[in-house]
Amino acid sequence: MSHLQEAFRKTFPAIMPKRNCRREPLGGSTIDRVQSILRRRVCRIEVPPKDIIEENLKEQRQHLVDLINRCAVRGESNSAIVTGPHGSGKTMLVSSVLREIESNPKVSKNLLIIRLNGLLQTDDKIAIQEITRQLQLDNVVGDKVFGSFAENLAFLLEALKRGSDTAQSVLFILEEFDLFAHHKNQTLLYNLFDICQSAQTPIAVIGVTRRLDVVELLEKRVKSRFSHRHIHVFNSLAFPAYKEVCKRVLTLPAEVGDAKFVKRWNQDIEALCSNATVHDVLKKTYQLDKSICRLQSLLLLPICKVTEDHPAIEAVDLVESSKHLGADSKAAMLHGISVLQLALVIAMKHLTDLYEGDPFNFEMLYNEYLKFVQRKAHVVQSFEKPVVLKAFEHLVSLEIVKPVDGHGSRTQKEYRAMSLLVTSAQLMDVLNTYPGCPSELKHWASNPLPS
Amino acid sequence: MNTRKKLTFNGGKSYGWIGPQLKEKSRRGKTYYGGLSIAGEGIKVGDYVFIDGEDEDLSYVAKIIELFDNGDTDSNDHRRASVQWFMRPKEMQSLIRGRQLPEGAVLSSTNEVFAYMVKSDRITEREIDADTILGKCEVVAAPPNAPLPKTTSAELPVLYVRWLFDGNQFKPVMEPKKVNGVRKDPDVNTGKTPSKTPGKKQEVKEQVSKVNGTGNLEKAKESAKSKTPKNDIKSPGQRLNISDVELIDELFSSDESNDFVNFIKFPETTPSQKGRGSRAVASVSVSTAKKTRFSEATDFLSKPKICVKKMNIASDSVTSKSFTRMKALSERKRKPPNGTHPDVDLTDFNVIPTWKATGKNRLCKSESKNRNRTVDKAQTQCDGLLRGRKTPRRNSVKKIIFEDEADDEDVFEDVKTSRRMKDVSCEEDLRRKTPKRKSLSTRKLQGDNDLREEPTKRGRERQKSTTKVTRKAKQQVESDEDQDESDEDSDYEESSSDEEIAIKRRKTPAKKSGGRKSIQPKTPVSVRSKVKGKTPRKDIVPHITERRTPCKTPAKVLEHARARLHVSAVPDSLPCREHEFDDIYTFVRSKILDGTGGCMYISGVPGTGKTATVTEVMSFLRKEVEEDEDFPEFTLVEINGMKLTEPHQAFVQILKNLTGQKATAEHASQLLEKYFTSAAGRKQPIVLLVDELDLLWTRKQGVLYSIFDWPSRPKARLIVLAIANTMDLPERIMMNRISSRLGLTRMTFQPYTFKQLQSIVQSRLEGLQAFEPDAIQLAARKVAAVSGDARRALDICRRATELAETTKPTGKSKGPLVGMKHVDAALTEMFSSPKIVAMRQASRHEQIFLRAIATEFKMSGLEEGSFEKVLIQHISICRLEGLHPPVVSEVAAVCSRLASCRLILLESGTNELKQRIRLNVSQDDVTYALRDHSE
Repeated sequence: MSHLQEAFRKTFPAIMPKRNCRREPLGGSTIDRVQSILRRRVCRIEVPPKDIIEENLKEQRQHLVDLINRCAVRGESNSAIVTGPHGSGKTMLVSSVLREIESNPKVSKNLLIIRLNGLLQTDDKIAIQEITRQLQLDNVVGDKVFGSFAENLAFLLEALKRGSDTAQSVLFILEEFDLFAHHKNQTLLYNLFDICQSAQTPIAVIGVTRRLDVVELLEKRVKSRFSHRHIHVFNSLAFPAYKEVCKRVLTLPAEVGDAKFVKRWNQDIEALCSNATVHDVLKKTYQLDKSICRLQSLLLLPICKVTEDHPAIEAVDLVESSKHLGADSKAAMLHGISVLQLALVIAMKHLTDLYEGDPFNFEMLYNEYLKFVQRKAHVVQSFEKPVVLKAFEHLVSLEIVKPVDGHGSRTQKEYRAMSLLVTSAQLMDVLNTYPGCPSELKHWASNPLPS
Repeated sequence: MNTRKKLTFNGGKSYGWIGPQLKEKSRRGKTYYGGLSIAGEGIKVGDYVFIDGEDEDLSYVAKIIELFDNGDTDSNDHRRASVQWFMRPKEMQSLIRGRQLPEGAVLSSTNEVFAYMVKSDRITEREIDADTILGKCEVVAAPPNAPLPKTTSAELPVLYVRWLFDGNQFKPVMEPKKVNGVRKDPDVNTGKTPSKTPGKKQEVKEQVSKVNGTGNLEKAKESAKSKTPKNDIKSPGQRLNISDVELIDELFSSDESNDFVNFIKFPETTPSQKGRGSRAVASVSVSTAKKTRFSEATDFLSKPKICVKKMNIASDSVTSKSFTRMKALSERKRKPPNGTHPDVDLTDFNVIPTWKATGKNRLCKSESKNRNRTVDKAQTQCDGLLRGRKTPRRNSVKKIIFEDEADDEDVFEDVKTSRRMKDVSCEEDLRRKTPKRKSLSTRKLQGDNDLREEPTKRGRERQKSTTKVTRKAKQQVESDEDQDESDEDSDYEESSSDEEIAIKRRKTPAKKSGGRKSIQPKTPVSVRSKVKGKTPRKDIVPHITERRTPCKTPAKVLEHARARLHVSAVPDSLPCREHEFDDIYTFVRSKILDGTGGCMYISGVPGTGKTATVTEVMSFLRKEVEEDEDFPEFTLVEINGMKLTEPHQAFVQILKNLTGQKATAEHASQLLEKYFTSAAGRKQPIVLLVDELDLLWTRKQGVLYSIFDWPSRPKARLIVLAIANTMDLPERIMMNRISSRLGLTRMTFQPYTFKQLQSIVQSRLEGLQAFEPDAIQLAARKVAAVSGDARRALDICRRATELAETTKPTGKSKGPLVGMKHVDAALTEMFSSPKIVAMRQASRHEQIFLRAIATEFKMSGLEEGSFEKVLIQHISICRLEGLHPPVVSEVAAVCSRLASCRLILLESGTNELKQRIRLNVSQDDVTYALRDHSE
């Protein structure tokens, strides 16, 4: 869902409701202002310090700018794909290039920009309607496009064909480009690339995708028409730069008003960034994921914690935030299950160990559980089989244990082959932190029952 | 009765045979005549005429050889004429297929024609509907290498013929026997009108001058003056008189009555108009006043020439002011046409409605239709009585009138008008004097119609080009004064302005439609075949907003090279595909000549020039059709499987391209079935080009079956060229009954070898010093080794030019030469996989995860592992390297990130621990990339 929203925002920057993201007068107390400034930065409303990030993207940026310029000014058709892992700044690059181009009247007045997103235009019919709508062709009434798919396609092709070099250049930006390759016959891509390679309306097609192997997805004739320009964008930020970005994000501008506060805050931030703990936290985050997005989510929590009583970000906040981010979801889930279910998980763990990862079924599990209960009958409450089954089903629904694929779902649920999706390390962690965990369970977990 | 066989009203023109039937020649129900009267103008055998062309730009030029009536009086086109064609340079260019026009021939020239003497027995080539004759013109031979004469004083539009094309080559045309139409040499041609017309014209002139004499001394003087072409413009002073005003009054007073008559009426009141009237009497020899009027009216409707003439004379009495403006007009005309303002056409149409209000119904109708057409930018045409082709011309006459009206009140408008005319003025460039006369004539027109001016137009036009006006006007006055006035002059003006208008009207649509026009013919039908009435069709023509500034043209060598290397820049001939070209050409040609049908299947990997070759064959054949009269016309229909939304849309497309009809897929299929089963209503063979054939596959294969079945119909005369990538497509996806129908005519395009690729690139770069030869070879070899795709080779070279451009400053003094290193860089960019870089740029844990996978694979000996196992490896590597092992969720996130950029392949599903993982790069790559890359 959030993916879709993101896609939507990328495609329709203007259409999405702008809540308070425009610069509303900075009202309220100093802390409120600090909050709003910092939040805007970490919630990706404002571009993070561009100079640092684009430092590594100069070449790619130039390539893209040249390509679009040539299309707009010389009418030279082109196609290119921007690839890179998530969070590496593909969209940021494209939009910063577009911003530059729009500011150049010589280019922008000859350029129409069409934005499509593979998550929104899920098939060619919608995509073509969307293109027609954005081009405001003659069959567009208001915001609606009329006509059948075939008509629309023919109409659009005709329109693009007629233009030759008298028409404005059209720039197509296809976000999530790989999804377009899944459309039937790749009609849209074929036609766009075909126009690129023939003397029709000058167009530039820029695909944005994460998939490095996206070209392999293209059909051979589509591939042949693609000009094979790849613009690779990577998370190539080195750690010092990464740390610098962190500092820059947290540093307050002078416009907050309270100069004294700003000065103190910035000094604090300076100190914070040179703090060893913070360094470790950042390093850990950086080692996991080099993207700025991750850093932003790391900083979100500490920023939100800034209040009148707590007017600074401290190393502890970052550590806590990092813990939140690094929390193990399965372990968290295990904290919420009952002791019976915990016992079942332990039994399953033993079964998995015993059969070296082979699946088990409920009967085996129940058997194992009975063995344990019989031995420790004096300490552990024993349950009826239906109760145990119910508890087991709950675990299934939590996906702590899952039926193995391919083993017919028709078999009775007691005999369905299952596999455990919790590692023993996770389980041990949970047992250690589970409140009021019976020591027998802990003991059982580390020492399987002698059979 | 014998002299005027019939006077029918046809599209606003009256047609009638002149002269006795030529008994000795009449046969097979045909009745031959010596002349034809079209709207009062007599056309005789041997005359040169403009023929209405379907091309909006230029009318055709031909010499009348015979005139006859085929007796079919029910139909509209029973009046026939057989002609000897003269080709405009543009037509010629398309006819000669890449051969060079003789030097000195200007493509855009409107007053040069080529004698077209290709032998042909085909009647249709030479026989036309006499009703399509627009009016007379004159064709004059010129020495082959001399520039075209700049001035003439003929009354009729003069076209020059310097070359004769006999189907193979151009020959100079000075020998009179070859240019059978040449009447005089332009050098000698000092205003003497050619054979048929002069007498008549002269007469008219005299009459005009006589009549004028009463109202205008100057007129009388003119008539007495010499007839040299120079003496065309009247001195401005004389024009200031009351007759102008009278004229307008007259005009308005008669508004309530029939408009046509109005137009004729007001002339009558002024002396000059009388002259006009008598001219009509002289030429058509109708004695009663009423008839005169009628003929005049029809004249006005259908024949701009006459109409303009009339107006011309009528407006002898134009103010000096207007004259200066006239000058401005003509001055502007000489300017290059690029300054044309888009508003111009609009203003025309703005004006028209007001005029229309006074106009008669019929006229209004045609008028508004015309307007619609242009405004819609569609090819609306007038149907019914008015032939679409003719109306625009009429229209243009009116346009001029209205523009000129504006002039009297505002100088700037003239500039506007002239601007438009300027477009037309290729011809005028050559004849310095004529523009003035032309503008004069139009100028005069405007005098008549001043008061109907529409203010809005003025306003708009005034905004533009204020600067030029004054200068122009001054010049105008000066040159005006040089000029003597003569009677002939006025006559000359008539003809020239007429011509100009004609040209102008041809130009105007082109202006509006811009680049569209050239792409228009979906089903290219030979020019000739459309001389006859074509059905009006109106479509919404989609288009992209026009660009504000035109595309920059390449300036530097590298830019040139890049433009030429673009795949879209199709060269004149495709190198390295001569053999295939020949095969396809022979196949299609023989089928067309035999009048049979057939199929050919063309296969080959992408980028081997399949479609390009076939397209070239088609354009070659098309030229042949136009060149060689023996060669039958054919219709080309192109469809592309990839451009259809689903296979059955193929029927819709084919039908639309063939007949222009729109139908649902099912209906279209039925209609096509009928179309190909019966030969009714069509004579031409059809060439159907099906690109990306494999996409037309359906479960029942109905589309494929139909396409390959039609050619076998006896009357279909359909040639199918099917293009696809796979060689064995017929066997693989088609049922037997389809592949058997496909026959055995197959052709495979082999991937290009490196030599071929090299010569392809080199042929495009001919004459440009942009590449080191080795650089091209490198690209060619690399591509040939991979795919043999010409597009790839071109793309690489193009990218190399870009790289060379960016690195140029650091380069040596060698200049901008694309070297090996640039090509190599481009190659690396295109062919190298980014995966190694991606792995190197990945975060630490991502790298560890990849290593864990590699280790796991090594240990298990399998190429697949479960997340669980990799996780264990991952954690152990972390421990080994002293990193805090991440929790499962984090590793899972790492894993999915790697999967999202396809460094690893991840089984979809939610059972994360048991998910199976595969590497999408080789293990060696992983170890190589991450070998010495630990922080």
